[in-house]
Amino acid sequence: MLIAPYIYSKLLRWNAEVTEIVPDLATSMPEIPDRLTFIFKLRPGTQWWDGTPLTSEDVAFTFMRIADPRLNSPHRYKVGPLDRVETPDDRTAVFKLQRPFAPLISYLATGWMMVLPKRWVETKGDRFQDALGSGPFKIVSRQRAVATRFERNPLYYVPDRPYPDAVDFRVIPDFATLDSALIAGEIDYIPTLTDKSRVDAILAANPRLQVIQNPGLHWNFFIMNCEKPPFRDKRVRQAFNLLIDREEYLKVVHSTGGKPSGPVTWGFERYAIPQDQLARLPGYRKPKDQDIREAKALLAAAGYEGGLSVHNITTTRPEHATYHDGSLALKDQLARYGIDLRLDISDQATLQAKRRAGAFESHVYVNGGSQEIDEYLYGPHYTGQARNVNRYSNPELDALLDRQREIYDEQERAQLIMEIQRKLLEEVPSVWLADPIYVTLVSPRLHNYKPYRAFDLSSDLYDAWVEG
Amino acid sequence: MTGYLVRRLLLLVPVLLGVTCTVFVAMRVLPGDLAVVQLGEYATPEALQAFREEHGLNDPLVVQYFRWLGDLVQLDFGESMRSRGRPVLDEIVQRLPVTLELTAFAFSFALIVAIPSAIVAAVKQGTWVDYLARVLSMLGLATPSFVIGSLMVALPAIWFGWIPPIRYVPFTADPLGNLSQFVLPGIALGLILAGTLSRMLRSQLLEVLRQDYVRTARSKGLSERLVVLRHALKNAFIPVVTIMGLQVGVLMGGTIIIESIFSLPGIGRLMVESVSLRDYPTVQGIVVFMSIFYVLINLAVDVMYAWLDPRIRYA
Repeated sequence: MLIAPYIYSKLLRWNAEVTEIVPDLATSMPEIPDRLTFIFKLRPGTQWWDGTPLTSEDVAFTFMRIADPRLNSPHRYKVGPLDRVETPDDRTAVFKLQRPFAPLISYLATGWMMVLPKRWVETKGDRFQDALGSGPFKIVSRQRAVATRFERNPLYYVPDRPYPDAVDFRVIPDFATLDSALIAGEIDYIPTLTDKSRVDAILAANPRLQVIQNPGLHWNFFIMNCEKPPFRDKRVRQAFNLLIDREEYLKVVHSTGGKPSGPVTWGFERYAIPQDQLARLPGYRKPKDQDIREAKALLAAAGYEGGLSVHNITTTRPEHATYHDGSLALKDQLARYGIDLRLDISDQATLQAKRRAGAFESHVYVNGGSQEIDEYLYGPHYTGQARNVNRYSNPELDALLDRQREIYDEQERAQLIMEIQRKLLEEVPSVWLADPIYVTLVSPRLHNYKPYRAFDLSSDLYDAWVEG
Repeated sequence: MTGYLVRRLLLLVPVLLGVTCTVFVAMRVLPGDLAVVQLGEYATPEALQAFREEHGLNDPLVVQYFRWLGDLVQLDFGESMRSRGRPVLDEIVQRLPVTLELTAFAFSFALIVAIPSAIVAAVKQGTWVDYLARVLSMLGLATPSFVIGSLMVALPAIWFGWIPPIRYVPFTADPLGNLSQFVLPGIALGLILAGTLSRMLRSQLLEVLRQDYVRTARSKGLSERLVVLRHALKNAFIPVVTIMGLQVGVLMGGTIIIESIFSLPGIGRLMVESVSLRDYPTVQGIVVFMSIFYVLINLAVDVMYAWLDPRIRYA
């Protein structure tokens, strides 16, 4: 995912600020003559690196491949009820749906929706090592988990982009080495830092670094296994939601600052519940006296007056420090109310297996990164979805989630999404915690770097240039 | 001698069988699902099943083990899961030079530091030189290589805005650049061995220097330098060489941390990545490869005994 956005193009893409969808390979936004047809016109003259033309046949191949149930793509849900892609000519791709699917345009603009070269993939496969792309950069060398070198693609459809002639990606597994490399000017940026003491230490050693702050599109949440006791009982879930102090969580886990979040992270301004409204809701109120009183009553009613012990899975993998730090922070908080969060620490592979098998009672998790709201709500909460880690099921909510997928009017859909969030806050399949302000430290020689807010990184170096 | 070598090489077979069996079982005992790690935890059950079927993971463990063993004797280490089908042997061969070079640097550093300091300490026993050498060797022994390595990277960055090279350059592309990037990691890795060897050699030298034949050499009027270097040092080296052979394994283990700190793409890093991704073929391949290397090094050590002390004969 770190590589693909640099070497492939999509039909549409989000701008770096995630405020607008703009055409990428398409000449304009699609024409939608009826709710089941999306017509994309491709830019003339777009080519793969080897000079062969990129055609609607490649587009049809890519999306029918994702939709093919035999391939079992984990992203199949993003093309929803896609029936077929017709190619009346080389430059026109017509998406035909079986039923309306509002998120389609937005999903097509997110990461993972890269258009692949049909003939190349059919003969050589889809490994980056042997990739043929059409994006802003070409891969010139790659050693997996060590380094990848990109060079500017001279056949890219925007003649004056990208500015950098070459980009070197290096995997530096040790954080101290990574920080030292930035301080010494050996690398040009470190994104998504949320540990203030680490940021301060780097800046103290090199005050010339640029500091860019932005909200992310990821969300921190406390997952509760709704199939098992004690969280099968809604009252227990509600009690946890009331007891957890989100501001304290933020101070401990993400010291660069941030805000409490509802089911949609506060960074996703278009759909998130406004902070002033959130602050009046149970669990978010200050001071917490009333929440604590109500939580104790709920626990007592559920038969846990004397406290309870809860199994919590976590990992010590440095890239997932939030899981571990988050579990520790909540363990400390909940202990004040007689709740013992028993940490079960394992490596990432074991954690994944336990999460998938539902072999846990609770877990602090970070998810998200998409620019499409459906990904925040549908996957994690719809009955039977693989991303529904909580194993939550509620037919009433399922119906609402289905409905929001069919509403093309943005305002109407936004209203329904607000209703879904309120329903989720009442049901509490998860406790949504607080999400950080991400800090990106950038070398003084790198200009116009736009830190990515989502998994889709294609825009971060699009306008960037390097001095001297 | 030839007979001894053949017997020792034949002993490799049961040793390697034990290693293959242990690493095979150890990887399967580890919790976590290879298919889930490779395809992601949101993969459908059908996709996971197809993956397991494709890679023979549904077969009984005994079948899987003997299939792997059968391939192994034909030098087919299997295909890496993390690299989506790249031969494991290619991965190892690509990474091995980095680890070998790092180990060689660490070893050389340890010898260069340990031998002179041990000699001086033994000859000047009880003086401040001896105490200094002993304190320094204790310091080397007691300081974990990851602490030294991290300080070597962080302190120059903070003080001088400089860090050791972290972009790996192959020897063939830039010999000088390649060698320069191993100096600091080699020191960080070799310090513990230097401390161990220095202490060991000093105490052996002290013992040997009290032997009758050394007294005889002195009484013949040989210079102290000749007595120590020609007569004492060689004999003092026998237990030290044993330790050196055993320490190769420790050094190999140490590369895992040092390669991460100095961003060197060696076997150690490959091992860590492969274990975390449950890449069975790669982990198994690395362990077998390293075991062969370790056994051969220790065989070489045994052979060295005869050179160091001609009284030792191999029956």
